[in-house]
Amino acid sequence: MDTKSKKYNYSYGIKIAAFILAIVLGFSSAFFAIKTINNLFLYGSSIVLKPKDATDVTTTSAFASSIIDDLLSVYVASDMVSWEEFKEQKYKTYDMELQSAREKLESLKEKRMSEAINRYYSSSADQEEDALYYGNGGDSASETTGASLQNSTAQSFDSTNNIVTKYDAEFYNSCTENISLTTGATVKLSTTMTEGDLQKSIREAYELGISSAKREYETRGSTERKNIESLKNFKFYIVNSETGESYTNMGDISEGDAAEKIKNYGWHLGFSVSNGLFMSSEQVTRTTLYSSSKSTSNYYNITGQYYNIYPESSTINSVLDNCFSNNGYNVYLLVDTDYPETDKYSNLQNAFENSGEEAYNSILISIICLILVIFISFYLLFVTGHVNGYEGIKLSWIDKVPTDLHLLVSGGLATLAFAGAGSLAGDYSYYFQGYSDTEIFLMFSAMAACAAAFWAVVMEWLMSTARYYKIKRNWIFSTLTFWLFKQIVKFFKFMYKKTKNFAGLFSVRLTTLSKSSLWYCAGYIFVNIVLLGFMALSVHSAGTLTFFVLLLLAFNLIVLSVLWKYIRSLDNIISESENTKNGKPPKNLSTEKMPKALKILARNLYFTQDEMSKAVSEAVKGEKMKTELITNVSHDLKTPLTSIISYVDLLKKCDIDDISAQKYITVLDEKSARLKRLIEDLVEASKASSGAVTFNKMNVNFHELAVQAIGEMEDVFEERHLEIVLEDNPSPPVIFADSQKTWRVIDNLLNNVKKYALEGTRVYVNVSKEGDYGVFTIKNTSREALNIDPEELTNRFVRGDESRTLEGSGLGLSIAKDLCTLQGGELNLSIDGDLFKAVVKMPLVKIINSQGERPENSEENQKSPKQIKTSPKLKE
Amino acid sequence: MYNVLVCDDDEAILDSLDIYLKLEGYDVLKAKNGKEALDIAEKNELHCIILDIMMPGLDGLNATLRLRETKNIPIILLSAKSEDTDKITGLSFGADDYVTKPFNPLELMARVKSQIRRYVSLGSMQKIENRLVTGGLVLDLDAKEVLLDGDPVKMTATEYGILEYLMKNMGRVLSINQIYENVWNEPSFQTEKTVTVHIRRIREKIEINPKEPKYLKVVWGIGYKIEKI
Repeated sequence: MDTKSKKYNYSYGIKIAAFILAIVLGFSSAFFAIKTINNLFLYGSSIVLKPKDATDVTTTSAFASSIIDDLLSVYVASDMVSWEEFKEQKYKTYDMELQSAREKLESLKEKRMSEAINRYYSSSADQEEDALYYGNGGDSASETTGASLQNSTAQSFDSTNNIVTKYDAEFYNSCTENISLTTGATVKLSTTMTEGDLQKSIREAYELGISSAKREYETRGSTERKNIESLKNFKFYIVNSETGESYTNMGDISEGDAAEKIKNYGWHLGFSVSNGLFMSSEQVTRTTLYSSSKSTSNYYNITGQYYNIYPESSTINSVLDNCFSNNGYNVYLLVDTDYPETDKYSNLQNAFENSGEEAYNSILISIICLILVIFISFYLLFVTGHVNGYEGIKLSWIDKVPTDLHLLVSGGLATLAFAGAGSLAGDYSYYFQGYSDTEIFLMFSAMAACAAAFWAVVMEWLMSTARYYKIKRNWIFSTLTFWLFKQIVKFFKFMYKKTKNFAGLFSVRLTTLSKSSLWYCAGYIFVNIVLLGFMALSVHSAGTLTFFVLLLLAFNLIVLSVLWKYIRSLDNIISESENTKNGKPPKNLSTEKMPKALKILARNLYFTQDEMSKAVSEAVKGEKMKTELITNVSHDLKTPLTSIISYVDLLKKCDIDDISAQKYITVLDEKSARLKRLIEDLVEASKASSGAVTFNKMNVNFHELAVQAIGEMEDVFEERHLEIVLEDNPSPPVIFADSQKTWRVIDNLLNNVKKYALEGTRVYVNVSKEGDYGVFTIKNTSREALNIDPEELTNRFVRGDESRTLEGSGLGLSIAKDLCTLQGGELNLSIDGDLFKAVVKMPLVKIINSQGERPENSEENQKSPKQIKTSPKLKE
Repeated sequence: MYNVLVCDDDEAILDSLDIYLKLEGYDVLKAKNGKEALDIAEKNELHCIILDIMMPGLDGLNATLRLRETKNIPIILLSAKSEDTDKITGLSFGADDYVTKPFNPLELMARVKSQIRRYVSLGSMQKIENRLVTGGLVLDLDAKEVLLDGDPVKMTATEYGILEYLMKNMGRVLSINQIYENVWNEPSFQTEKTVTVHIRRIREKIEINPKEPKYLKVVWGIGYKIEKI
């Protein structure tokens, strides 16, 4: 590729490559940025600010979260709360639940009863006598109320208000409601329920909840115990401050020993019932203790539910407080910061140690990628719209989409990408410890992909906007909103115009075909729909149906026949226009029955026809008049001249002795001969310049013509002692011209030479081909100095000798030039000192044979000119 | 004595022609328009008619048509119209010759003489077996002689050869090369001038006005031909 095209290469390939590269870079940038944020989130800003010193993971929130998790495991695993205790605690809520269920049942009954009463009155207001009277029974009187249901005439009294009510029993009895208990079980309340029923179903639900809780209790305990076994670097010692009962993984040691032992380890703390945190290593800071972790996985909820731990207070301190201290336990914890064994704490430490450098690299890569993305973005904005081999800006197909719609879609997609990344981030930040490394990697990738997609969508929109900006198209005018607005304005303007002339709304002048057809179509469809509608309505009545079917058929036939008439009118007009084209006389169609639009067309056609025939006849008349004028003038000039010549000749024959008289006669003779020539030339010149000459064009061998013309003049040249040098031409040009008129041109030039050439010099003639022209060149030395512009020589009556003493009309070159030009050739004169040069260019034969070859190239025509023999139409 | 009818609406021309024709020894009858000319032709025995075309009343062309219905007298048309088409029209109406105004009186006399001679000597001419004829031009192949209106024309051997070749191909256009190769019997090379010079000389001998040839015509850019009359 050369540098030029490199500089301005706008090929699609490069653009697409840049776009894809930017997406990849954007993805990388986002990925590493997320990683960095994750590291900061896990280990705090210290890893970036002081990566070399921050070697201890114990001060980080990730560490704290781990500790909390493990403490909870210990809490559950230690069976600190026995099943019996747990169950008892559960049943504590039983009375409360029963009471609340009771209240709910009551309110249900009350609510449904009032509804039932309403229903009764609204559905059977007129059957009051037959209605049963029921009292709205109290809670304890359910049984008696149920009994009184049997009594159709009984009246029931409300125990408090003594209000007699009638109600819709069927509805009331079928009403139920579900309530959920704190154990998670659901109880179905019903209006027919008694107190015993209620208690029974609550108890059953409780027992069901308890039994499932027990299963959970047992499995959770064993799971957590296993979990604790996997802890190597984390040691704990919990002891009941009253009973001395302990649970530990430090081996069989006393509380005092444990307290001593933990002091030897890098991270440790002691928490007693009486004193709270009474000993700790220096890493156990307020931040560590109170940094909250929402990260614990779903088991935390279960422990929370079953062990009454509140998730919102899940800091190390709160766990120690709620789970251990409140149950009377002292806690001793240690983490061996030398990490002699591999477990999650050693992993945490390793990750932390690496995280410093990793964070730096991540930030660096992220920033570099971001810069590249910005650079590519600007590059794309610069090149967009430019296309190789195309001047200016080319819009893409997407730019045809209304800009606001585009913005809406792009914005939607961008928001989607943003929201996707956000929701992933939210999920991750909530559950991050529950994910494996692969999951985390995938998650970050997904977030980065969202970011890259966001960039792509925004970029695409920006590029479109950039193209708009480059072609200076107004963004606003391309919006759908604007278009709609314009349409609405247009509509209102239209309506305004129409309503100004209210009658005009319905009697639109049907001048244009499109307008009228629109109205007719609308009418046609409307009538058809109406008729079809009537048909549909009268399907059941055969007579009416037949009537409408016939009506429909008749209407459509009429429309078709009218349409047929219109089309035939159009056909007539088309054939008329064809006639006009071919110059045939018009048929004079009757335009009376045509539709208005076609009438206009026909009228215009006739108008054009008239104008055209008028113009043609006028042109013909003008041409005829011109020719006639020339003929008449020449006749009127020639007739007296004939007499003059004759009588001068007769005078010459007379016996006149007077020498002066003889001299006068000679002058008369000369001048009359000259006059004759002048008149002839004048007529010819006026014909040639007015174009009133007909040409009989044929194939003419230009060289042969020159030879013949020269041959005719041979003796004259000899008289003048002029030697004509005709250069031989092996491939003579064949021109397409009127041979007689072309000879006139050459003859005039030769005459010119004869008159003005210096005697005793040579005259050079050459015939050749030049492009599409046959060229005849004649060069001679002028007798007199030519102080004249060669262009002027071809003007009428301009002559080389200013004294005009020589014979000649001064029309010869003018005629020659006109004859050349009229035949599509040209005559050029040039003067170089005394050298006079005339060049005649005549068009060559174009296509003569069926093969479409140029005849001047074909062998036969070059060999012998007789091959192109055409019987000459003109006779001399 | 031969009778010549002159018909022209221009008095001066009529008179001058009268003088010329009388000088040549013809009896002259004069008419001022076509109608008069027809009347005179009806009543007199004529040997040649000179008719102007543009005349009031019956014009020259229509008069020619009417005359040709009954007579084969030579008719020379006179006209100021000098276009080729005018000449063709005139000749096709039945005229024998066409002279444009203003004419050279001597040329017109020569033409009249030629027409009369041909008209009157046609019957009495002795029959020549082996000959080529066009109009008043006769080529006697046996005697190797050229006769123009009955008079022998002097020609060189080459001129005769060219004329013979042209007359044998009467009506056909022959190129310079063809003429050279057939007459000189050798391939032509740079011979154009020779041929054209001979043609011109022949024309000077057989034509009344070599500028407006009757028999030997130039077809520009193609060649030469002898017109079949």
